[in-house]
Amino acid sequence: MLEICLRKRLPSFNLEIDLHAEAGLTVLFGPSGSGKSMTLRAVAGLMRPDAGRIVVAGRVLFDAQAGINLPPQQRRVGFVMQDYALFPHMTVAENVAYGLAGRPRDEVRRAVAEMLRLMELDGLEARRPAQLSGGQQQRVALARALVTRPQVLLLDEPFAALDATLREQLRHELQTIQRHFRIPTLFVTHDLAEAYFLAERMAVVDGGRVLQVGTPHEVVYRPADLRVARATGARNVLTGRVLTASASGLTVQIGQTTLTTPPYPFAVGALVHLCIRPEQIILIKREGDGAPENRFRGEIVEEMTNGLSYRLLFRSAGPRLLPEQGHDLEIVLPPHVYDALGIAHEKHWSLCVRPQGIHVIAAGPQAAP
Amino acid sequence: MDLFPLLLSLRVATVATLLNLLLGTLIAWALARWSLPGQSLLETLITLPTVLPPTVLGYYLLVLLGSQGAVGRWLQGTLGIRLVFTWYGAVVAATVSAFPLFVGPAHAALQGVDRRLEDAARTLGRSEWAIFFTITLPLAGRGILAGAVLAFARAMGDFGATLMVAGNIPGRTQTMALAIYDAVQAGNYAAADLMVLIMTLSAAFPLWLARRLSRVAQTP
Repeated sequence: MLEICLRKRLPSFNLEIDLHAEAGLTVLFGPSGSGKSMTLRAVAGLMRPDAGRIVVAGRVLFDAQAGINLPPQQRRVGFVMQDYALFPHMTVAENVAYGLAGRPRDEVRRAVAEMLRLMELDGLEARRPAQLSGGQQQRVALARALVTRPQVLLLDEPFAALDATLREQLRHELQTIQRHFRIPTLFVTHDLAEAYFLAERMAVVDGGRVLQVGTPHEVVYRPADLRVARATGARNVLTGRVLTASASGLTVQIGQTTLTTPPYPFAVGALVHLCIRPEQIILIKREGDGAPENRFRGEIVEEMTNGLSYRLLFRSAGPRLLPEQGHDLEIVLPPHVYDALGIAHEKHWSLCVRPQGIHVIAAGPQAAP
Repeated sequence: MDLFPLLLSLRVATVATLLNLLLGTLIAWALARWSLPGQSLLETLITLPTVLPPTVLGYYLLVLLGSQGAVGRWLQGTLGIRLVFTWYGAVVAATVSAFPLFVGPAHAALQGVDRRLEDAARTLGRSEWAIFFTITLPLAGRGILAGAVLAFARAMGDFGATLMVAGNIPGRTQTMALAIYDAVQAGNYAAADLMVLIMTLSAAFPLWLARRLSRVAQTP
């Protein structure tokens, strides 16, 4: 449905994006300045790549070799920009009708009314953008783009300027709209939770490249390399050598101790990174609970909370995983678990790193511990 | 009082303002939207009339537009238009003198239009001309209007360049500014007083208007 291959030399980095996307919602996830927005601008025809090819629904929009570069006007792309770029001197109705110029007046009126109803904007036709709330502005921008029946929808951090509650509500609405229109959609965000919630496919972008494409679950729980692991919040990345390898799993030397992992195709002696998500570590109340391997006894040396979860830094009292650092593992707990376990009063714990919670990736030779 | 100088000044200033609106807007737009080769040279050239002595500006125009000048010869030969010592010459002198005063605010106003609005309009399928007239121009409108008002005031009062190009022919090319000079030379202070008062008001009102327009433009 959507085939993007583009090369562009930029002052700060080189953009080298290769991405295939089917119908449905593809999230481009990555830090600011990684080239996500540039990619959208290239698809829309607002930025001309040095080389490459962009095909949407069988139509070639750009092909450097064939000398094809359709102007944005002919690309049939719906683009919702970060702060919506609504026309401030026009009413809501005029904004939505803007892309329908040249069509019969009755048809325009009908199409605009239908779109405003769908977006729950009826009654606001005569307002100016400045008289709308952030969420309403966002919906007008979406309506203005969708009313022209684009073949691909581009959304550049459309919820970034909104507060958390509204953001959640609009994410749900976007899913509904997405199902209604079935247009291939590229959605740019640097918010992992947003990416995870919305994405049918998630592409991790950093430094101008697509590092990994997959379902959100694949990307978050089986990152292809260290950069994806870090970008998707694997807070614990431990580096070590494989000691034993069998069908039941690996044991890996980490610092002064070892960890057991599920089976991965690495040979004895290979240098690997273990990515451990902070949610996958279990605090143990009584000895004998949890899996027998990967257990550590120690102390919580630091804790932080944002009200929604607790982030704890754990330091082993026995053999250390990270002897040079102040702590060995980072753990995330929901508040009810924090309260139930009474962590506020008791800082000495045993914990278990579930082998299923460990993902093993190859480490370059430069990453020797 | 002879009304001819006042009517001529009004006519010259009106045509000069219209010319500025057409040419000046186009140039201000080009400056705001593209990085042209020799951009800073061009911007310097446009600002030059504000600091050059009017006689120097007038001399350049005379050389360029006179019957021996390149442009003057072409105009006379193909269109049969003579610029020097006619009111057309006064229009050219006033247009060029007022040009920097128009292009300044117009440039700032056009540059102030968010380019992403134009980009959004492009993805919605509208042509570049449609975008200019429905997005860019309306949003820059107040700034351009402020420039036009300033240009009108400046064109009304031009003396030096007009004198060099159009001369000071009573009943043909004598504008208000020139008529005031003649009246003072002839010791006719009563006429001079009245004309000075009219000129002062006709300059003060546009200045006040331009300030108002640009203030409103900043707080939409």
